Amino acid sequence: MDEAGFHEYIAARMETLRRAAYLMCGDWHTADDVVATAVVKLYRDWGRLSRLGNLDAYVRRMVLTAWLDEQRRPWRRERSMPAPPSRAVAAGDGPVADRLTILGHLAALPARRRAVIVLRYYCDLSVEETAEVMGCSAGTVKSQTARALDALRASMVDVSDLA
Amino acid sequence: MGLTDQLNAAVDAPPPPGYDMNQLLRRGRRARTRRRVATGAAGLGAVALVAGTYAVAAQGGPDERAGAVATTTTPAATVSPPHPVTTSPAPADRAATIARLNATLRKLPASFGVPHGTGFAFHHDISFPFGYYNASWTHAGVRYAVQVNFTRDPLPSADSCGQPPTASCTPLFRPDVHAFLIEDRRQRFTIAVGSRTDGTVVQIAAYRNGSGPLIDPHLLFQGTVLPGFAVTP
Repeated sequence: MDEAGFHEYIAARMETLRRAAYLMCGDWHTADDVVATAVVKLYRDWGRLSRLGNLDAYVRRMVLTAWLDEQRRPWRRERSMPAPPSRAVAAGDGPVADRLTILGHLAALPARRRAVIVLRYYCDLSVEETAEVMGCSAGTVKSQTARALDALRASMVDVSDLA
Repeated sequence: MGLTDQLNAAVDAPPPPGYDMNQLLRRGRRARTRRRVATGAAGLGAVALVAGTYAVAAQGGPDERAGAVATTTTPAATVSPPHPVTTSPAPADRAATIARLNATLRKLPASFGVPHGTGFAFHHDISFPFGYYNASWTHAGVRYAVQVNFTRDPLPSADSCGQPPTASCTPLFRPDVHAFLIEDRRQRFTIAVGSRTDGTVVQIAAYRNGSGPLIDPHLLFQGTVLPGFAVTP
């Protein structure tokens, strides 16, 4: 196995994968878990996967699948909390407020729409590349993107530059 | 600020990672080992099935088998190796080894319930350049498979032991044998793999059908250290 090749590959992409996972998950602990799961699987199959033509798309798909699997776990379906969660509703001033606002609006989206937004507007993938990562058609990506942007627009996120 | 800028701003100051890369690599190595064990077990099942088919065919047509109990056990004398190769031991050596292994098979504790007529057969595939010897049978709802082979690999370390999610793996090291006791409650199998200092690897697997309890891996381990389960005399 080409161990050095694995280290080189993962060192160059780990941080980007981690940040993309955070935007999908909404918390760093889950993002770390998701990325760790993907890295373990990548290492396990590195001998075969390293020969793939589009490894980046495959790895992004591993992260996405790990997160969707995590979402389906029984202990993720329900959360006990003392009071109803407050949701960010409007942009405030300053970077922290911006961060909380966009994360709050992303969290309100269904999982796959959130993934579409992250892949297209954070990872900067084309419709076709996003479709490959998500394992669906380009048409589905377009419709999911349109609905997600509509929802964000309704939440007062500035998406004017994407119209 | 546009959506892309907002997304970038949301992740521009990440906390330190909550994982240790060395630990992830260890998990990866264990996952790779688990996959190899699982692949080997699946291959073993396929070989047993093929061998059983050969055995049934070698017994003759339906008329000759009338009244016989259907079984997938592998009488050694009736099974030919599916892929004879140049690296396999000489027929005389093979026969002597099979005789020794069969004698040892009778020394397994009664709880294994080895049926009369069960014996080892020699097989070969690309995963086992020196070939391997296999015997399998079913007793009380448990399918057992004993596999004995030879390897020039160094004795495995504790890092080779698999971990959850589904399987537990316990290393058990002695001066003469490094063993792993693997128990998978979801897949319902228990495997003991013992690697000896003489290069012999003995694997005993028990696959439980239905809802009964899994086999105690330590019981299987006792089988792996029997002196007669050796490729060399």
